Formats: sequence, C-alpha cells, structure tokens
Amino acid sequence: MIIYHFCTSVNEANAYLLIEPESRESLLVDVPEWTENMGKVLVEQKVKLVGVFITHEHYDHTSGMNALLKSFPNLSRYPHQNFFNEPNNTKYNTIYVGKQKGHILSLPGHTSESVGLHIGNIVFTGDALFAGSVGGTISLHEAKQQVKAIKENILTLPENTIVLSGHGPATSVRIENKYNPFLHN
Amino acid sequence: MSEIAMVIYELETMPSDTNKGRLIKFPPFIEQELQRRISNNDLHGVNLQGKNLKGAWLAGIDFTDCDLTDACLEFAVLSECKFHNCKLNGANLKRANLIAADFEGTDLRNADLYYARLTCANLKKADLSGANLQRTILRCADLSGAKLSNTRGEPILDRTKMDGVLS
Repeated sequence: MIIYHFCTSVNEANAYLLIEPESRESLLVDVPEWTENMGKVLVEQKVKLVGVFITHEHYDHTSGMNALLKSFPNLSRYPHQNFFNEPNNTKYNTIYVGKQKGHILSLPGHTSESVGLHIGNIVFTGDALFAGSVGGTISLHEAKQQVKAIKENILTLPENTIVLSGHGPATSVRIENKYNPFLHN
Repeated sequence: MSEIAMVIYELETMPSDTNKGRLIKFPPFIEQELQRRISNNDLHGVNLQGKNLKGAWLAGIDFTDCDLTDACLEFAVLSECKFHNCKLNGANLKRANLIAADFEGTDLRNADLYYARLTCANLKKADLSGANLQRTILRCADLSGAKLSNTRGEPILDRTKMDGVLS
C-alpha cells in the first residue's frame, strides 16, 4: 500500500490518501480541506477514489467535505451510520480498498462517535491516539472510556502496526504501548 | 489552498506478525548507499549535512557522531534514535516523532523543533540555544543541565525534568 500524508492548513490536521496498488483503488481518510494538490495526486497516480472515511465529526477533519463532494458527488462515506448501532455487523464494520480489507474500530472518548480504521499494517486513529499523547475529552469519564478503547482496540494490534493519527507524525503500536504516558497512569 | 506538508509512505510487504525489518520503504530521494547504511544501522560518523530525510521512517537508528547540520527531518519518525555527539544545529525537526530519542549532550543549537514530539526523550546537557520550541512536546522528557538560552516559543512541559537547566 501507498499512503499520501497531507498536513493541512486547517489546524494542522492530517488527511491521508490510501492507495491499494494492484487495483489502483484509494480511500481518503479525513478531509480537513480538499486541495488542488490532492486531486492532482489522484489524477497523476491514476487511482479511483472509492470512499472517504471520517474519524470524527470535528470541523478540522471534515471541512473539505463539500468541496470533495463537488468533485465526487457519489462518493461512499464511511463509517455507515448503522455502524454505531451494530458495530459487530460485518456489513458496517468492514471496508474494502481493492482486495485490502479494513476493519472499523470504535474509539469513543474524544467524541462519542470517534472511530479508527485498521487496514493492512496501518491503523488510522483520528484524534483518539497521537504519537505520545491522546485526544482531549470533555470529562474524566470520556478520558477513561478513550483509554479503555485504545487499550482494547489498538494496543492489541501487532506491535509493528503503523499508527497514523489526526495530527502530527506517524508512530507505531509498540512505541505507544511503551512510552505513551496517558496509557499507563 | 495548499497543504503545509506532504509525505509519501510506501509500505514494505511483510507478515504482520513479525517485528523485524522496516515498516516503510525509504523515500526515493534517499540514495541507495545511504539506504544500505541505514538498513545496517551503520551511520557512525556519517556526514548528513543538509540531507533531506523528510518523513523517513528511521526509528531506532544510531546517529552517533553524525553531522546532521541543517538536515531536513520534518515528520521523520526518529523514536528511540541515538544522537550522541551528533550535530543537529539548524536542523529542521518540525513535527518529527522524537519519542524516547537520546540527545544527551547533543548540539541542537538553532534547531527547529516546532510541534516535535519529544515525549520521554533524553535531553540531558543538550545545547538547545536559539532553538524553536513552539508547541514542542517535552512531556516526561529529561532536560537536566540542558542549555536553553535564547530559545523561542512555548513548549509543552508536563512531568519534564528541568534540574540545573541553563537559560
């Protein structure tokens, strides 16, 4: 897989374009803004955008949605709303990009409907988990809920899984498990 | 509109249950010889002055005695790297992952550490004079005896050891 990591001008939020090289299908993860350059990458790489995955509904992860949908009006949006009612239903918790199967993870805390996506050797964590940190929450209850979700759904992934978050640089499950101070208090 | 930065990762094809080997391929702008040396963790004393290593996955590499003056390491993953006796003055370390990196006694004068993640990093006796520390995350880092004169910006300090800091 090939991933384009765009650090955008909207609160320095990250957008990722995941490309499955065999099928040339791609998935956009978060859309803080939709830039000319992002569209250019799709054209130059000759890839088909099959969907957009939104990790949570904050403006700095969704502000480019209208512009994106102008270019791709029939684009599938993930997760499907039914995912939140039936998170164990494979119809709603699975995404395919070409032959690559992705699994949607519930990561409530930063928002009640925060989600991640585990696909191949990558996990997209939105604002739930950052390199060395975790997302802000409105209360201690949500903070505990978030840490629990991270421990159950992310730290249980293989240690060499690459973590790509909503802000900042890449990291790995091993590094976060070992050093993230918010996960060990 | 345009982005602040763009990085391309090409994943290595490898079984997901092993912890050996590289996770992400080298960016194409890193020349073959340097790729070989990094893969063999054989960078002792190499001159990397002004090199572009933007977004490269270099976790755990030993950069002891290397000259990284003015190198571009923006968004690079450098967690658990060793930078003993390394020159990093003027280096671009913006938004880099420097978690648990070892900078003991390292020359980081005028380095740009904007929004870099230095959680659990060892910066004992490092020279950070003139460095940009705006939004630099120094949570649980050890800055004992570090030089912080003329630094710029407001870093995030939380459980940071600051004994004997020279400012």
